[in-house]
Amino acid sequence: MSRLQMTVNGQEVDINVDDSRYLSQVLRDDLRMTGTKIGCNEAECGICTVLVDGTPVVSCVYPALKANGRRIETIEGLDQHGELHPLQQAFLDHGAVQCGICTPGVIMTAKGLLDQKSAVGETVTEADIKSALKDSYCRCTGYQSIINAILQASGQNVAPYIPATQAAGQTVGQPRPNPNSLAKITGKARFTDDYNFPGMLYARTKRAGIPHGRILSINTAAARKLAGVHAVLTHADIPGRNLHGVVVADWPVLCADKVRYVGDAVAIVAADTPEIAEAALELIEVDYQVLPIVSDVIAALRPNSTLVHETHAEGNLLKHIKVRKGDLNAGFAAADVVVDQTYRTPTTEHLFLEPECSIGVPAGYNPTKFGGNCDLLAVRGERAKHDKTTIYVGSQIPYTDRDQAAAALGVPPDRVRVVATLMGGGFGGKEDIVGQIHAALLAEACKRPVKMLYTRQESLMVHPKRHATIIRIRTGATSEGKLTAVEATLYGDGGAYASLSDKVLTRATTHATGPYDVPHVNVDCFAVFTNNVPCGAFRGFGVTQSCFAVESNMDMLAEKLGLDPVEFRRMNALDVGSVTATGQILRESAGLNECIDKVDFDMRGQNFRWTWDEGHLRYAWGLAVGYKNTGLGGGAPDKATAEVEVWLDRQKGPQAEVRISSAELGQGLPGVLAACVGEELGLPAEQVNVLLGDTDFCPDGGPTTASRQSYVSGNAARLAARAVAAKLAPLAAGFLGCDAATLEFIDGEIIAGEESVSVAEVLTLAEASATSTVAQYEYWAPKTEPLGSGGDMHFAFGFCAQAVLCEIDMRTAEVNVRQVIAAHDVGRALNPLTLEGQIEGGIVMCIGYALTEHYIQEQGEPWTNVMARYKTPSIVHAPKIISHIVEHNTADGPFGAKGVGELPSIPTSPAITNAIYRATGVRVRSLPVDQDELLKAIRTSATEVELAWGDRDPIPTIKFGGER
Amino acid sequence: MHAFEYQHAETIEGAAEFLTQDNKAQLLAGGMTLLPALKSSLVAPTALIDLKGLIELKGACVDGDALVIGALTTHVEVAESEVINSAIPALTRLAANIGDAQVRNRGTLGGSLASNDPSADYPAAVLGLEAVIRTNRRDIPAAEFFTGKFETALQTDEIILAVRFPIPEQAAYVKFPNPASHFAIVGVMVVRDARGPRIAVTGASACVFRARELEDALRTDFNEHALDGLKFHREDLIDDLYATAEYRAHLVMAMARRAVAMASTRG
Repeated sequence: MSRLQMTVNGQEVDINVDDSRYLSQVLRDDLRMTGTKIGCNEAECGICTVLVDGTPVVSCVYPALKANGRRIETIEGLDQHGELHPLQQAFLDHGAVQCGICTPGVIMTAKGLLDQKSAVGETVTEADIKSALKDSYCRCTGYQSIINAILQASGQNVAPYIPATQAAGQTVGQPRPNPNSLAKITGKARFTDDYNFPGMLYARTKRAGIPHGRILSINTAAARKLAGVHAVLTHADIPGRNLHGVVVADWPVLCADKVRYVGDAVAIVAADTPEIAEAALELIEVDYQVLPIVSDVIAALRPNSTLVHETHAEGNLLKHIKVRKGDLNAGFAAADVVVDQTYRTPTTEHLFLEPECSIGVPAGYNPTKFGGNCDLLAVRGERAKHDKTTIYVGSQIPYTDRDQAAAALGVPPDRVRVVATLMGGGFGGKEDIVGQIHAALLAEACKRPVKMLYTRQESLMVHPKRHATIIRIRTGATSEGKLTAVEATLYGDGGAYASLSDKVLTRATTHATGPYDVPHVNVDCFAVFTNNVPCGAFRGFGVTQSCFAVESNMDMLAEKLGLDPVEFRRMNALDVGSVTATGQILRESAGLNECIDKVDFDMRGQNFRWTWDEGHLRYAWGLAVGYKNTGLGGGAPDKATAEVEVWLDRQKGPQAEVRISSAELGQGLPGVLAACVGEELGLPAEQVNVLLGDTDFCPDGGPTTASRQSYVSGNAARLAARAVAAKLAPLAAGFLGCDAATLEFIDGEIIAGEESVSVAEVLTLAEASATSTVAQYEYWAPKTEPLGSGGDMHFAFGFCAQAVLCEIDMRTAEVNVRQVIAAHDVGRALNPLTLEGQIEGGIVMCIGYALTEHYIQEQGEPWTNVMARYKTPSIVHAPKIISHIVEHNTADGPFGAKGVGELPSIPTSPAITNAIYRATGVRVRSLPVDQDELLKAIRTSATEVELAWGDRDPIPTIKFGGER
Repeated sequence: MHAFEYQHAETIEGAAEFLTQDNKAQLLAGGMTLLPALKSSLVAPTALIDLKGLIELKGACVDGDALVIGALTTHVEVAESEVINSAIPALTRLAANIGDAQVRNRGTLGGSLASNDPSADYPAAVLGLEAVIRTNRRDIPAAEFFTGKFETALQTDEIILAVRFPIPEQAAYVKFPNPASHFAIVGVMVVRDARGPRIAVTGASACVFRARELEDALRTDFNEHALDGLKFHREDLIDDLYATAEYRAHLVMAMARRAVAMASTRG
């Protein structure tokens, strides 16, 4: 221990700290200043950046004692006397905040830059920003809004980039920062790891460490004896069901007989400190009989292959998914030109910047027993109670978490409560159970709160990824350019457990014709078990993979036909009246052609050329289109229930609260729900509080997946608000002496013709007459039909077109994306500011998919086991994005809206490889683009590349219909 | 998490004394290699001896025909130094492009040299400029300093004090960054002075090296086209997931051409 004296945000700090502590730990744990966040603890992500004597440093590797005598600035000290710092205001105005976990680090790094520039009287340029924030990662925004916000904060006149949309209502359609953004830019926002309970223990998980093995014995005796250890649990200690799974329960909570991938959990430990828990893991002895590994999807389906699940009826075949339409032979007979090509996409990682964290609190927990009190949920007294097992977690599906934890605990679901905390990004990667059940089991075993925080390295190894696929696709067209047939076969690597493979790969299969009118279709998809890390949901949900194959084939066909690639797409684009591959007739809201037109118009501005040279740099445009279902579809019941309550606050006037257990990942759901409720009740969105994801206080909004929340939960919130309005209407009608049916709710008034009464007045009447002002509404989305039935498989689709301008250095094959022109048909823009954030972030995420991201596994062992090896796009990769919003209203969506969350991250990668082809004559058939292979191809005049960065073997040959 | 003792070095002699007494202690300069390695359990020092208080090891000056830079000068200080920029502008550009702002704010010249990461930028400059590394015990010529991957000629209780760079007529450093991590997949330093042209390459191999066959080609004609038609070959180029050996060989040529062109135009 040594003495540490420093100032933090102007306050003197004088404490004794252990020599080996880092500044981030002193700030977060000792000073309880949790505004500074931790993303990787390996000096890679930059989100823990603070200023030391005005200089940005990564606090996770800054020995605390180095700070002695120094001046520390953190996000908490930025706003002064209730006034936001210009950077905070600009981040708010520009929507440069989404999940918010990186925001403190990004803002502090930017502050370092601005202070330094203003000290020498220099103007901040975009190049300065890109240099200063090169390794300050943000996974949500796509960086354009961050760059603009910093420019604005530096005193330059930069308006927020908000595309034009149709006329806004009272609240719907108004660009407005997400309600939780203010907390995120001031350091007040609390993610799960920011919560600390009196008496809390720390948990760690013993992982398999081998991809496949039979467990012979587990010995925890030595670990139990370690001082400071409170519990060591194995499969034998699980009171209830030892399985979990979002679709199929096939994943052991703690492995009993065998392990199927490196990240399988074998034992869990709770101890006084994370260090003791970690040390205890080393003392747990597990004996394995090592089993042969299957890591290749095609080998996995061969007879006599090693089986991942011995009892699964179809061996390693998780699911065979089929789409059949028309007569394939007739379709190809009618084709004049056919392209038949095989593609490969990589396994990829969400890299949400907040690693998974769960806190379990036991039933009957009394903080005063541990010398503290619990003000954690002091919103209303009731909510702070811990009368049942409670799990604090940032999760995409709170009710499923609750049910799965209850099953493992062996108690009814209503004996468990899940409280959603803010989530530092999800992107599909926080749908499966990870630490939630373990935290709850340990909490009940120790009768103390237990925090289970994953390290970045553990997060990389454990949670389900995006499926790697091999896709062979044959597309036929007439010489006039009409598509006649598509035949495709897909193999998807599901990894060790079912997770969401069935659903994800179904979406890859049903979208495998692209958004085109194709009369004859045969698609087969094989979802396969292997000993790789499991794969599940990831923004785009399978469609990202098939779009790469489809849109590559489309450009090749256009070239063969001598047609303009944009015109060729227009000729075949789905429109109202078209029939999809699954036989669904589109009756409304299919704005693909308008998306194509908007992008084409911008792209072909003055002096348009498809490709040109500037010295050794070659520029080329590439284009791709995409579509994505909104909602679960396929016959799955898709519903959400919301509760809305209105009351009169004597100071603040009428207040509304909407309660629903849907998840906020940073995508802006609270703002959307507040707008929907405000519009119905005639209240400003600021007067609508949004409470999300507390299973004891919020009805079930269903999973936050499939771009469904704006549509399904938006409708539930809107209709619950309408139900509350219906309760107020008779009171208002009585007061005004008119018919309740004629009333309108506008700007805080309830209006009948010339007469009006304020909502506040009516709420006073309601209070006096004890009239209820709370209502629940259970909203069922339009019914869908299962795949194969030919009916409406989905109730809505979003459409988009994107053109990218690539710059290729012909001497090194370095590829950069310089500009993206995008148009997205979202039905209706409910909040154009946060909508644009979704679009920009999705595009940049897909640039990563095309150029930098590959989760590499070798014989079931992840090579990308640290963040330094898995690189998402940084601010340096961020292109200029020009975005158009297309609004073909839906009849049933809230105010005409449909989903958008996944759509933008679907067509960018084929647009990039189409541009690369135009520039170099080389067709890239494997993602991510390998510069090395591309250069080799350019120099040898080869026409294609089939090795991606990290791949060792070329794309295997696959037969249509599969080898079975 | 690994526990260590934190010591603040008051003098160079004191720091050396710590090292003599505890051979598992390590010197801490900027810590940009050491601390992430420590957190990843790749190293486990018993103590960190922080040198940052030794301000005499910071700064730069021109001493006759050489530029002397203190070992604890950070990358950002090098990047912004007018003294360095007027003597060897290639060094300020090199420093301005190391890592990211957070790394440049803390990482130091001495720390970079002592850790000798195969993809670090400074070793190419030090070798190419034929600098001399001054320690608390002796002067080590660059050609003898870098001995292998993460290995140098430094003894356990030896501390780098400064680096003496002979001022060249022309120099330029160009790197090809990994598209994701921005580390140098290949970095090439080209130098020209009275003793002739020199080319040092980092990133391509386990340790920085001189590309002598390319130097020969530049001897009579210091022009990027003098490299035309040459193919670079070397047995021990790194072949890994980031780039094949063949691609690295190609990049050595491409970066060398760029560096020669840059050095020529800057005069």
